[in-house]
Order: sequence, then C-alpha cells, then structure tokens
Amino acid sequence: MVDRARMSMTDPDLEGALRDLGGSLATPFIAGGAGVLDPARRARLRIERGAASVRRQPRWAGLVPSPRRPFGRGVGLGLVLLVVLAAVAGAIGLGLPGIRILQVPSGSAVATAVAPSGSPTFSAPSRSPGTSASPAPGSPFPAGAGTLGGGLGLGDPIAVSGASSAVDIPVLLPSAQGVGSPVSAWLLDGRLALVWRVSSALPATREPGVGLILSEFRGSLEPGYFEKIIGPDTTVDPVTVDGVTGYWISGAPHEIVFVGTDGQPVFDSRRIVGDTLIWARGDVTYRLESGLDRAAAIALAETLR
Amino acid sequence: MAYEDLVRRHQAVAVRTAHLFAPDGDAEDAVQEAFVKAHAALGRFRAGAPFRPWLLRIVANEARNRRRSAGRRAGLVLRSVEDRRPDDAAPSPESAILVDERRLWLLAGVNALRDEDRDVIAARYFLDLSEAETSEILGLPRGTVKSRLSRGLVRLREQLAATDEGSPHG
Repeated sequence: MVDRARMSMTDPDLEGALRDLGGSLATPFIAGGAGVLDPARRARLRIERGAASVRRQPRWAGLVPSPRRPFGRGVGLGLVLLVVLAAVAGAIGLGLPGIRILQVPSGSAVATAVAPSGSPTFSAPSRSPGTSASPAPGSPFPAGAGTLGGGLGLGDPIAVSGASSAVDIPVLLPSAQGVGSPVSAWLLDGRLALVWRVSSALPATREPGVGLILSEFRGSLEPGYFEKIIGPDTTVDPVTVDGVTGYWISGAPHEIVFVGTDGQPVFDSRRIVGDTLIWARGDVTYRLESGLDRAAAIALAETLR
Repeated sequence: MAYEDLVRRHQAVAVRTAHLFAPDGDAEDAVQEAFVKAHAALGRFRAGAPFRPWLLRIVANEARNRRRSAGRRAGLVLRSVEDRRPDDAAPSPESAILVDERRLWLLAGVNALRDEDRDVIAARYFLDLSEAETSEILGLPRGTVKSRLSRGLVRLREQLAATDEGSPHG
C-alpha cells in the first residue's frame, strides 16, 4: 500500500526528500591518480594539441631536448610514454581492461599544418647538438622533400652515417638478412628516425617507397600510463620483444604522446605509415613501423644490434 | 595553478552536473568538451567572480545542448547497493526496501517532469546549489529560478499524485 504520508509532505519535507534522493543517484565514476586521462587531462591535451597546430614552437617543446636544453639533460627528464591511438573517425572504446578512453578530434596535427601551397609545414624541429639542418657533406640524400621519409614529420634530415653521433643513445640496427641499411635518417627533438626502402624483406607501407621506419629515443614505457583512444579499426596488444613487454598497435593510424613527469604532454604528431611495434629497453624506447605482420615485426625487432 | 589542476578541483561536481542534466549522455565527454570551451572563454571570466558556478554553467550548457541534439530523454537512476558510499548508513533490509521504494517513487516523479522543471530541481536539490548558483549555472534571473522552482515542485506533486492514483496499491 502506498504510504499516504507521502501525499501530505510539506514543502520542506519534499525538499528534504529531494536532497536525500540527490545523494542516492548514480553518478559516473571518475578514476583518479597520476597519469589517468580524466576529463581535465584530456581537455588539457586537446588544448595543447590545438595550440600546437598554430604555434611553431609549442609551450611543451622545452620538455624534450633542444638546443637550448642540451640533450644530455633529457636523461633526467624521466619522460614516460603515453601511447594514444587516435581514431581517424570517431573514437570508440573497446573496453579493454585497464584501458581508458580518450576522445580526440579526428584528423592529425600534420593534416592541419599543411600550408596553402600544399607543401607540408611541420612544427619547427629543434636540432640536437652536433647536427645541422643541411645534410653533411657527401650525404647520400638532399635535404627536404624528395628524401625518403620527407613529409612525414620526422624532423631534420641528417646523414645516416652521422646518426649514431647525433644522439646520446646507442643506435641499434636490425641485423636480419635482406633488410639492408637505412637510406635516410631524421632527427626531431632528440628522436632519431631511420628509414628503409621497400624491399623483398620489407613490404610496402602506407607511404610509397617506405618499407620501415625505426625510431629510437630516450624515454621509457610505463604500462601504468598506457592509455588510448581507439577507433573500431585499431587495436593494441601487449607483446614480448626480446623478453621485455611491448605493444603491437595495428589498424588505423595512431598518435603518440609523451608525458613528462610534470604532466606536460608532448604530441608527436608525425604521420604514421604502418602498424607499429613499440617497446622499451632501459630508458630507450624503440618504435618500429612497417608493413610486416606482428610476428615478423617482433622477429625483426629482436635482431636489433 | 595550471589550468588542468584548476578544473580538476571541480571535476567531480562537473561530471555530476553533466550527468544530472543529460543522464543518457557521456558525462565525462561533455565535461572534457566544457573544459576546453571554458579555457577558450577564460578571457570572458570576470576576475574575482566565483569560478565554480561559471565553470558549471558551461558544463550545464554543454550537457543540455547534447541532450537536445541527441533528442533523447533518459531518466536518472539510483545507485546500486554495491555502489553505495561506505559512509552510507546500513539500514535493516526491511527499512532499506522502504527507503528505496520512497526514493524510486520520488525519482519516477522527477523523471516524468519536463526538462525545464527537472533542471532547476536538479541544480537546487541534487547538486545542492544555492539559488544564486542555480541562477548562474542555468543562466536565469534569480526571480525566474524562484518561480520555476515553485512551479516545478507543484508539477512534481502532481506527478507523484498521478503515480499514486495509477498504482495498483493506491
């Protein structure tokens, strides 16, 4: 039977009952803690990202090594790596355990940084000590467009032969048979990218002529910081590379965001050309993009010497 | 204080606000969008004014716009027993049933209200905002908040009466 007393509630009674009801309503739970991509952080990332598309020298540029901040100091930054998968279309979560969803507008910063002339205008890359905007004398490739990997936002071209001296990390190369040597090398804020041509060992990627991009840079993979936005066509799978945990990111293009210990985001808005294998050894992170399948990519990664 | 830290201090109430105004929407998403819009609008924030109601107004607008654009009309629901806060009193099973029955009855009445009435009740009682804050976040003059609240409570009583009359136990 209905409680008749309810019908005769005074206004204060009703107001009190409404306040009580308010405290009993279901409300979405917001996870807390360092590194969690809560709405505040996601908003911040989006704000930074928007700013990065119009500023040549974004505010967060100081988080990574630059001429004003020698690369050696980058060692102490303790960068953690946050991999964010950006869906080309709307972001939809797959509900994988322990992974939260971050929604980011579709389209990449690279796409928005195309000059009216149609030529790509990437944000000003900083040069590390010992490098030059111009290729070294005798360099096998010219600067700028036309060089394999040019237009991908990989940074400044440097001589392949000078790659190992351009960074303060040991540069490793795949020793698998048939892979050969990289044909171009690029440097952006201390992040080295080596590019290989398509070959019988390296199938085609989304970028014509490019068979492999191997990136090597200082930074560590922190599984606790591993977050993503993901489209229906992109997946992330934990894998083991030479005994250490890595991630296989396949499908739609993704973005990578570095987050410093102070929480400042650094968007790596370069264009992604293929499925990605990413892993860290010590404080150096390796990213291998190719047209290889997962097993072949892991096998290739394990030949790095 | 960094903007991220600033808005995070109000994040919980922002998500609650977005959920109360658009229960069917993605509250976190609405709040994220509102935080971005608030950042863009910081130049219009009156120095010295309270930040929370200003921010919540943007959140509420975002949530309500999503509600309108989605054309959805969803109801609020009670927390499940497992989600009750640890500090919630643990009533006997019998009294818990009675309390929940009463809350469900009241909630059904609230959910049946028009958005306009439900919004003002949600702001004033569910968010426990003052009339001034309710006025700010709904973008209404104080007088309108008072009259709308009064009218909303009358309509709520009508809804509750209608619920009782339609009840097989009534």
